[in-house]
Amino acid sequence: MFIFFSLKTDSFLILDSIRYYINDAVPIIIIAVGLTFVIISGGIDLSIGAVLGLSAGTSLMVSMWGWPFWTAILVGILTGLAFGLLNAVIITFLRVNDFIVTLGTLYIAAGALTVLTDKIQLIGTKDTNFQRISDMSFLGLTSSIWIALIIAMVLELVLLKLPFGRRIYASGLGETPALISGVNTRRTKFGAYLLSGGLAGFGGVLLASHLNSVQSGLAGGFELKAIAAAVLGGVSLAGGRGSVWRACVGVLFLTTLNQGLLLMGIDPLIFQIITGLCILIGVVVDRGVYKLALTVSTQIIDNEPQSLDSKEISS
Amino acid sequence: MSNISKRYQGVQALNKVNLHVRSGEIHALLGGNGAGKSTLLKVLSGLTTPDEGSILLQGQRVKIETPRIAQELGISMIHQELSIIPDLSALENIFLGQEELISQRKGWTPWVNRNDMAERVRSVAMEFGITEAELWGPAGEFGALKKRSIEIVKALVVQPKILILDEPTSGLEEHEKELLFDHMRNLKRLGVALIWVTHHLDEVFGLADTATVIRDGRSVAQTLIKGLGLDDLISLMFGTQASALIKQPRIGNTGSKPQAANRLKALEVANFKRAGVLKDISFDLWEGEILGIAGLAGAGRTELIRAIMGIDRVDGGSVSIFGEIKKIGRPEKAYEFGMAMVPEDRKALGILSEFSVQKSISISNLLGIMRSGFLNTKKESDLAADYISKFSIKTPNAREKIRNLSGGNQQKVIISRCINTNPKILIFDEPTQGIDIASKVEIQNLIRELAASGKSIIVIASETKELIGVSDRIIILREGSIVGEVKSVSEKIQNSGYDVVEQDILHKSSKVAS
Repeated sequence: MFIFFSLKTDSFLILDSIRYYINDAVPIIIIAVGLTFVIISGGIDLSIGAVLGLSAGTSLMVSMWGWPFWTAILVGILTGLAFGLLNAVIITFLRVNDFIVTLGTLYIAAGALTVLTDKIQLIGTKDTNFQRISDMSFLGLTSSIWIALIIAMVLELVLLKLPFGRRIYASGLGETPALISGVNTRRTKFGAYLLSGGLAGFGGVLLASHLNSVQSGLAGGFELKAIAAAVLGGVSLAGGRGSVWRACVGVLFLTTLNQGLLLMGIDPLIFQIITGLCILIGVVVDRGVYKLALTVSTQIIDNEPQSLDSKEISS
Repeated sequence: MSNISKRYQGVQALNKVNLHVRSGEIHALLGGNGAGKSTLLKVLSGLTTPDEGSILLQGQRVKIETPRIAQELGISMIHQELSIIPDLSALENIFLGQEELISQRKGWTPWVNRNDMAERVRSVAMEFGITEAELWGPAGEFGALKKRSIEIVKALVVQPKILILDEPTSGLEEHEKELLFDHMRNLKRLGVALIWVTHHLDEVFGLADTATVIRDGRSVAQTLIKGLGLDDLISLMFGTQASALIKQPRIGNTGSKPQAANRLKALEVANFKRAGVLKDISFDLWEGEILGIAGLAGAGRTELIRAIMGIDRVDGGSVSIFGEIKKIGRPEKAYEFGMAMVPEDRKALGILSEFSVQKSISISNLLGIMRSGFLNTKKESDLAADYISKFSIKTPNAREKIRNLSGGNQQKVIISRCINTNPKILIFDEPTQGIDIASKVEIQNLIRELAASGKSIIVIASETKELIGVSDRIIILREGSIVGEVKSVSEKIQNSGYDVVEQDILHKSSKVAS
């Protein structure tokens, strides 16, 4: 697809263009990473988009009060963590359905941002340090992109190489069997929601720093983009399957698609239809490939169990 | 059916299998796990189509491509798992998916008429012990036998010529099994051909007329049951090598028992209570002992050990491990205190189906495969390789998904997972449920070896024979209370004979509370 757009449009392959749209995708990448943990653990988090928006608001507000930039970062992350904590407590301790809980917190966060922006005009902090959080440049890439890259890599490592990550997979594959095998599924899911909230908070800080202005409704619908991207990348909504890099590939796919269509001069009004079609096609094709891979892999191992059997009988 | 072959994703599940069933006979279909019984039944009931071979029904060649066609041809199947929808009435369950049987009669109305339904099945239902009131009541409230009866009525309402029963006795008590067998004999008298799949070979005698034995996807024998013994069937099913293994003398575990005076109390359960389920249960488990818990379904056996492991809450009571009172509360605590459990219902509670064999083994003790702060793949695969050779787990490699293994091998993986936490106390809930005889014996031997190496073990098994065979001591539960104890199983067998012990346990566990 990347190549397709490069050939079709003159401007697609210009480095600035790529850098620009990937930079815009950073907040979605960051929440998609947290969401991946929640989905693999067998849950769902719909609140992340709204929480990201609210955290952008709170951190920009603090910065506008003239507080140092690191307190603004802290306030943004804490806002996210507070919502993550709320989700985690209600879902894991009160055992309420995750879908409806996070839908509820979505409205609370979105509503809180509306109230906040109604009270204070969140436009422009004078603190250049705050703006530089996301817009510094290293080796040709913005600090936002570097931060997203580091977060994704570190958390992929956590998911694949730490007991917490392994327990995330186990919880998602089956809560009761995991529980019986000694996995503290409640603590594991608790951690996943907390992480998801915290990352949404930090994503908000980056967005606020980048835009330097926050309005009501900011980042609305980001959660759906993140979910679509994660599933497109191969994170199973049923839980237990997927990884961070897969979710990131999904985000890059969706944003590249969007950018390509834009540069081809296609009417933005039909973007959503094309995006929707691509998601459907992507998921269906992916399922076909998975089945094919399953067939091939079982064919390869086919002979081994039989040879084992014959050994056992002959011995 | 002749020369049926089927390949599954490269695995030859059936290889020119033949099955000939006459009407008015009970035909047992036998074979170990993975022999191809289920695949054959799937072919017959239209759930899958064969790659080659033909099916003749009363001399006519037929193609069974969908379950609907099978139904129209008069082939009904009763599945091993109960597929009753609890919120629907018995009646609605019976007609689920076959509502058009009724609406056809009503002409143009698309509505389902319940009175017509009832009329149609009333007499059959009565015959199977379902009363008028029960027909209208929600099916979820029935016991296992009633549910099974509902499924049988459901299968009969289409007036089948062939009825397939896949492990119909699973979940049934002894007397319920007898009732079911009576029903099967009735059907036979009506001229229905019954194809019966079972792992319980002793049930076959006196009920089945003929048997087809399948091994490794081939039909190895079609034979009359009359004149055959259990040993004959076992060697047909598993070959002579494996049957020798089954018949080998059991490892004695009574001789080396430490005397009561210097034995340590591994586990002491005191006054366990849970409203409606457990009524003030207290018992001890000694070091190196195998304690069997007997009782009927619903007596509270599984509930008791789930409570001990901290999976379910209790209203009162305490657990001491090696003399110290421990507060368990959650399963991971139980593991911390040196307990581990092999749960019942392997598919739903035991395995994490997508996990590889090595991940399945390491999950309960992840700290054991850490190196410099991270999970170490090398350590993990070494660990798995150890257990694979130690328990001779049959798997292509350690990265194979656990769901692709046979039942017996899945169970061995779960036992490995428990042993890997180095527990002092091991709890087995129905450890041999749904696995073939050869693996069953292996697992029973494994349990004895573990006890001999000093582990303390609790075993729950619904088959009294199995329980007597494996336990040192047995306590009997009924309606949430301990109602009896066999202090030393081996002594009692020596003194009063095996049958007396078995009768005693069955009697105590089923006696109606006065």
